[in-house]
Amino acid sequence: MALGEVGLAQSRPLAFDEAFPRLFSVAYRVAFRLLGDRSEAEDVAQEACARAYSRWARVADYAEPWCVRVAGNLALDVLRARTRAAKRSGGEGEPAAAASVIDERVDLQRALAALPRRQREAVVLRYLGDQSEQQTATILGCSVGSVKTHASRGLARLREVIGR
Amino acid sequence: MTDDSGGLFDHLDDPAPPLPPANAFAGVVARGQRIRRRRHAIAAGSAAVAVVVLGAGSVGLAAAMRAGGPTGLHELPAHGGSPTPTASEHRHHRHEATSAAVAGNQPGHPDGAVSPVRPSELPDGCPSPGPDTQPPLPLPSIDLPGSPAPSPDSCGTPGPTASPSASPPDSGSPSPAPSPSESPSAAPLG
Repeated sequence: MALGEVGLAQSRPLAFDEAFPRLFSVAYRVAFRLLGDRSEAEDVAQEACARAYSRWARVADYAEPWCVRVAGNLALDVLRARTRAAKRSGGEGEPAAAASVIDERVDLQRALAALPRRQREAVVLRYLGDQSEQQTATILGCSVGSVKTHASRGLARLREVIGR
Repeated sequence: MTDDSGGLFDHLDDPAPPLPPANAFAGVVARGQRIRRRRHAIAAGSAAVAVVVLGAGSVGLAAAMRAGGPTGLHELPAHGGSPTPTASEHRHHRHEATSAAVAGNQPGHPDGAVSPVRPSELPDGCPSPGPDTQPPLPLPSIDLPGSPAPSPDSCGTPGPTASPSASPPDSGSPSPAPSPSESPSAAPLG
């Protein structure tokens, strides 16, 4: 997928209706990578787009990484809620395939939760949201070199935790 | 992918990502407007609460100042009087000093009186009110208009109309005696 840069490094920020398909796509992608569920990922993507619309005047210049960040946070919230619900119910009634997918996401969520906040944000934006280093640096408010450092260290720790 | 994750998360991708639903845009816009309205309502409510708190604080402060103003005037003489002497007070103290000089030293008070107002103006002959009394107590009754001429021994001895009990023991202010209008028996102000 060609990575468009909605609202970043453009002379005129797009209107929301023009940017919406791209925003929905990137938000859905990061949400599905974390959640593994289409319905939940669509809900998360729509919520992230709605939040972007509610403050479009401020986020229009960097709308795409902003949506990725919001979608990632919302997806992590859903994962936490799902984990709590699974702990309460004791994991009963989960199909085997769904359980494996959920376990995979739970491992990812745990690995992400174990990262320092800056590294987690850099990993979510760079690798789960497929944002460029410049976009990630813009949304995180740091330099490209700092993004490289945080993303590299976070990815190394993710590999250790996930064991791949 | 354009990253250097080595496909760490590729297997997590949706193989057939859906397009935005047909009614998704309208729903997103409606939801965004609700979020915006709620945020504006919260901001307006916070501003209203802040205004109410500030207004209540201002009203309370003004009421406290109105209520505390005369009280402060009443308390002021007990702490040594007004810090800025009036002309009548200057005359009064000069007269006290002269009277004290004429009277001479009193037995038992070789050091002279501890002046309530200006020690440099009082000679040694002014009798002290005693070690237990409050030295800088003002004498508002002495300076009242129409009162008889002060006696030679009226050099700061607490008179019967003064209220030394209302004075704290640390009232060693060198300020002069208060004017009659500042005495506790004066008519209430305002």
